[in-house]
Amino acid sequence: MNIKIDKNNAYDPEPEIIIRCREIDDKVQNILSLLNMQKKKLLGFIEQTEHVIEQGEVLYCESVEGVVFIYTEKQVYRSTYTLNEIENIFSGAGFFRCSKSMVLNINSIKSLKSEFGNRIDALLSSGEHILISRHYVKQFRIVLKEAGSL
Amino acid sequence: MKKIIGYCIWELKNDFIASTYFAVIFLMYCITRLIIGTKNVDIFVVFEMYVTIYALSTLQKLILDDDKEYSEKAFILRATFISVISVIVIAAVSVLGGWFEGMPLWASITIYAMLILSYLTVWIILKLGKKYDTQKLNEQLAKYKGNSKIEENEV
Repeated sequence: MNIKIDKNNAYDPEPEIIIRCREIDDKVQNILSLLNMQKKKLLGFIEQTEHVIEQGEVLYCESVEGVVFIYTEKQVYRSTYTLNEIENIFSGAGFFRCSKSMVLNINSIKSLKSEFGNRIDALLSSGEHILISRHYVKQFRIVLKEAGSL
Repeated sequence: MKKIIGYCIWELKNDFIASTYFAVIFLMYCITRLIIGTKNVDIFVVFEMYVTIYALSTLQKLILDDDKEYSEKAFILRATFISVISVIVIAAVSVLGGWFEGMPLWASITIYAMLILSYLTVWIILKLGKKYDTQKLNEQLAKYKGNSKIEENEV
């Protein structure tokens, strides 16, 4: 794959990206995904159709048998990102690793309930319950506390 | 090496639990002895007491390992089982070991009642702690979401 950057002062201040390809394969999809991440949007797929998902719509992302799915209130999308990528890029937007196989959008939590065994039950705006594993509870409390002390 | 360190940590936690339980029951036993006017405690009773408590705390660590995750139902079932077994075992050993020999009946009843009460107290504290923690978490969540909205508007 060739990457060319054409720099010229005569161009508009807003950079423009054009991808020239014969077909949209996995590599192109990955590039699109990364570009959408810069816009704080995620790219999800339902069968072969791609959809741009606003980060605020996302409830959580879950890895099932190596495939990451993005859950919103209305739809479930297949994703080309890994959970680590989602966690790293969207951590500032409230995405938090709540278990080995799940990244949770803190903004989608309706209420929290402290559970026995140092775990937290998160009730989402969709009515679903997600359990924050005890290994991630400490970090979760730090995230909430830091945000609360701002 | 990793296994040995893991075992040592497990054992340290177990010793801590056993020592705490032992301190509580031994203190209650000593107070009861003082009330009936005796200043001495049989060293064999102390030994039996520690061995019993150590065995029970080991059982607790095995059944309710704090390194494992349990559902709320499983946690309550296991904790209740340990509490009931502990009271039964301590009562049985105290009778067999003659911990209350020469002491009035109320002394043994008081110790058993205090034991049950201390387990109940732990449960009540855990329940209240959970309630307070839930309240605090939701307050922090509300603040978090409030700050996120401000950031979004600033962008």
